[in-house]
Amino acid sequence: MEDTPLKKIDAKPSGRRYATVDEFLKGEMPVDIADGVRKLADETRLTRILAALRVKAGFTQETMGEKMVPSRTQGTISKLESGLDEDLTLSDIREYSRILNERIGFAFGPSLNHVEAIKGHALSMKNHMIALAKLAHLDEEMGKDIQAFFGEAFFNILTILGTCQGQMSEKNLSDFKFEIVEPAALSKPTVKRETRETFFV
Amino acid sequence: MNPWQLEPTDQFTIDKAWYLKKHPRELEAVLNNLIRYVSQLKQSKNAFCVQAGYLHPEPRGVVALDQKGGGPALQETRLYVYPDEGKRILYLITIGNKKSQSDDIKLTSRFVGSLKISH
Repeated sequence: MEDTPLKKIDAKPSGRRYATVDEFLKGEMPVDIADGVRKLADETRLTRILAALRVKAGFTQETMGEKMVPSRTQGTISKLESGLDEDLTLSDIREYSRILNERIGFAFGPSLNHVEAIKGHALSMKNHMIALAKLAHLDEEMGKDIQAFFGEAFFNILTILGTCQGQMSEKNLSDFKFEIVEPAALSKPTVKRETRETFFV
Repeated sequence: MNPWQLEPTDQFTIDKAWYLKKHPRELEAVLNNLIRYVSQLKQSKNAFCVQAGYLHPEPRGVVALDQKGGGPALQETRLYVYPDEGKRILYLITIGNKKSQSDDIKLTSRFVGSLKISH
């Protein structure tokens, strides 16, 4: 049996365009093949991210290998980035994070549901805000910036709640409604970007 | 900058049908590397700077994506693509194996030539 593709014609663009690979898989591949590709992609999610971060930083695999401690060859980097996530070591990930100055986080276990995720974020926000409130005691100017930032954060959170409530159907709504009236003083960001970055280091 | 779009050719559609029937695992493997390639392409300032172990530069800016990382005992397979920087379209031209490699490269060169004429 001939095990080679059939004789080929001159290729022409089909005119079918897809914005993402996932859309392409949905549009062009049978479900079982698309699922097989997604399963493979799930097993290589982290290595794919590491490679993309390296490219974003403009580093070649060779440069990356030289910067790692201990140093690695280009071939080792190539193998690492083309391999499975389970073959990565924490040391590999730490070195990518350090060299590329990128925060890389990952978690195991089932995904959080929406309520759990919001509670987790709220707790994290509370901790950061307590830290900011402590910083406010150190310097009067910084204290003013932090106070202004709290006002901005308060307004933004209420805006988010109001927007989300607006997306609910009428029958789900209780008598209580959020209505946001933008105060003039809070209509623009009140904390300079560089100041805010300093806070969150 | 506009995001990249993917566009298969009619030849890709023919090859896909053959690979679905004869070598589905190889097809999955090259498509997984397509996902990798696109994620790097999105981050790259220049499509021709993307470098990886599964990528093989071919004449006229064509790139061949192989089946590496797809599992053991897979037949050598190449998905030939062409990143058109101007239009931000990634053309999926053809899929082939070692036996068809020489013809595939000629076909991809003709394809890129025809694109440049039509521009």
